[in-house]
Amino acid sequence: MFEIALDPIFPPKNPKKDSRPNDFELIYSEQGAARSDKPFCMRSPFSNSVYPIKALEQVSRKSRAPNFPSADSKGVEGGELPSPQITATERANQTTYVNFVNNIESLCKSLHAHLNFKTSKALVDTGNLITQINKVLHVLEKPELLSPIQLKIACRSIDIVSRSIGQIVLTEHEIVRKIAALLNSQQVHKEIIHVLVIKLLSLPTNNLHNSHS
Amino acid sequence: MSNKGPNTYWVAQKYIEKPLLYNERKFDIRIWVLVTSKFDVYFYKHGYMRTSSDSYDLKNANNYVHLTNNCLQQHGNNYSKWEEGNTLSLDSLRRMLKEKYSKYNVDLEKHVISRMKDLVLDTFFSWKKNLNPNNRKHCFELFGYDFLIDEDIRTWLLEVIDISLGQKSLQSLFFKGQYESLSGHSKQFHQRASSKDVRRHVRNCT
Repeated sequence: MFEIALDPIFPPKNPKKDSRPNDFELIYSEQGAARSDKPFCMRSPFSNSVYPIKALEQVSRKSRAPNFPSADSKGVEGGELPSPQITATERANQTTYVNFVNNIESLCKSLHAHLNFKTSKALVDTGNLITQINKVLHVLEKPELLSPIQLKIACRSIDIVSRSIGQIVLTEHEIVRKIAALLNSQQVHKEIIHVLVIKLLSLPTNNLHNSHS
Repeated sequence: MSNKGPNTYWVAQKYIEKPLLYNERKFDIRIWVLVTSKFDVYFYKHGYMRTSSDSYDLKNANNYVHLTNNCLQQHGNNYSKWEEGNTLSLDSLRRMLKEKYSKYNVDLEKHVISRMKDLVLDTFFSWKKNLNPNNRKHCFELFGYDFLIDEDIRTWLLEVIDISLGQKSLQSLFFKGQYESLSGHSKQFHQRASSKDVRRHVRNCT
């Protein structure tokens, strides 16, 4: 009885005799843990695919990238005219454009999140907003390369800004110039005309006054 | 759903349309994970499958087809029709994978269990700060992890439940065959748990 009462003070007499199989596998342990001398973690690298069988891996659903002509393409139908070589700058521009298009959905969500709950103009990050609108306008420059959904999302982004407290940035000189260029272009889409003209015309006139004063 | 109040929390999960099927029926895998007060995480090797009673069909809205929870299945007409208690050992799954996916050399431990361990650790890290808030010593917490495998052998975590040994008997934690092999140990456990001090200890720790 006395021994039982004092048992926690003394280590077990024959700790290694217990050879029963232990079906609990230790997968994580911190320093000083009972059954491990040093810390370890069995977590696999995050770079490992969630599909363990490569052949059964699903293709990720990324938005459709615009179909640009490749540098080594053999020209237009009939093969009479070879396509001009694409310069490094043009290639970089194309890559930027593809990135903007692929991220148009997240850009739209970001604008929505940034502007939806703002109650004061002072809270709007104008510089960031102008950068984002520039990206959207850049995407709209080539509507023929956008899917209908991407076009809709890009237009919605402008719509979100025009109806928010950040609408004042649409009257910035640089933005207005880009919008005018877009409206002048021959490829302009009716959805783009709608969002750029109708929404901008509905802006309060004092915005223009404030912007240029 | 209509009984829930307006300020209750909800978790929206993707429905796995194409789960791996066992004899045309859906199943999930229950794994026990033990976390000690020193944050040692133990993964119990002998998980088990919990099968549904009826053949899987995405168009069939019957819950007995889609939900494999024992608490639901036990009320179904076909409960225990195919497997006793709608539970099977992982050996059955191992055999099925070998037959069905022989072309891909699917190995349960390498391709499924290892991913389960990753998911266990991910949830542990996300919840670690909330475990053992009073820093009690010499205690543990037992969690039940439910996993689902899809037809591409991708492992999905369905839910994690916190088991209170003070409320549930050991028998309900294991499938029947497993429990019988453990009956000697469980008898000892029950005898010890009947002592007043141990009961208090279990209640404090769970």
